[in-house]
Amino acid sequence: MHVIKKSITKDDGRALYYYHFPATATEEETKVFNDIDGEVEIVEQTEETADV
Amino acid sequence: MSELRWNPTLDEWVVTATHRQDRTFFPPPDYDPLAPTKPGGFPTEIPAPAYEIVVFENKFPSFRPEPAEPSVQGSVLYPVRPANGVCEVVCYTSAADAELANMQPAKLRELVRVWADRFKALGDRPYVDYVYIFENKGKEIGVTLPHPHGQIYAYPFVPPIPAKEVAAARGYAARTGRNLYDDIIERESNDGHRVVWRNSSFLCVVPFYARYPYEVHIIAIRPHTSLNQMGSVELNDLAEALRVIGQKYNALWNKSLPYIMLMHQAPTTGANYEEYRFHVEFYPPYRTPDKLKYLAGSEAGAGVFINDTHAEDTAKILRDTAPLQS
Repeated sequence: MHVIKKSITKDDGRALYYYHFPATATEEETKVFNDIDGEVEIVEQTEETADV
Repeated sequence: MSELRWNPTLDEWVVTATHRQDRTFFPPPDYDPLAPTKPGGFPTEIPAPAYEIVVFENKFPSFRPEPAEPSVQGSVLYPVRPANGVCEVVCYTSAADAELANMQPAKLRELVRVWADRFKALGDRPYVDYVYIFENKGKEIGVTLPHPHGQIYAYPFVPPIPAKEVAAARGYAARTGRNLYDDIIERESNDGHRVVWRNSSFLCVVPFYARYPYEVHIIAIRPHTSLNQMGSVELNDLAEALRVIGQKYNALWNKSLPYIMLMHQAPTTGANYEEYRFHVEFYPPYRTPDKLKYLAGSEAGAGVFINDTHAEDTAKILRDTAPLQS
């Protein structure tokens, strides 16, 4: 599974983490995730078929 | 604010969190704080117009990474500590009407990956001794936000129940030379009367020692003590087990059954916990379709649960109940 995380700090100082799954994300979810200005981390990148 | 107060009569910490009195309580559907923030809409907790899975620090936490000093002075009799830890909210999906049991299998597998990542990220922090992943579902449990979500508490100590379980597993190993959970799995597999469901990685049972009528435990068959020790197949098998049990619960009385779902994993103190075993516990509060199981005098004051049912009977009912797929 391919899992990507973006970390941001909210206005009040709290941490928030967006998790993105390219295999199942909708077009809108992918665009929104790509537009987020945050620190990127690859959480997992293994080969696996994403059968829904 | 929060602080830890020591109870010397029970040798355990109590958390005071007075600011939580003001937390959000059943907001109207148009003001769901766990929904994405739509253009022109009110700002929710998630400042983006869409999301898949989001985790954020709770606005009304019992523990904080940088806690305030306690409001009272501690003493030898009554020690106090800052409430140093983390409280996170895990939004499973942006869909307000979803629940674990009706999420697509692929989405549930993704959620399990997020839990595994949070376990590692929080457990790696030097002030965290225990990462506790749980979900309160339903207003009967005290849920104040209906949007599908769970929580994670990263404690600065090992809480009493996991600590007692670890001690019991170690004691059993010392007495018998065997692993307690291996013996439970072998006994339940051979007997079969308390088995609800299983796959190649997890055994789902109403435990012999169930405290709630429809309590189910999902126990790792292999000797893993946390999500982080599991490979892809096991993480996927866990997602499948969670989904099946959730669907069986919903089929039981043809309603979305409330529950407390929690994960017991090894503490993150750095010690060896090989005698322990990863498992999930579900506590539904109903004992019949319309009667709640209350924690009353014996349970609350003496710590002795009175279960109105036999595990063998409720396990058979759940085993024979086909999962309700919605």
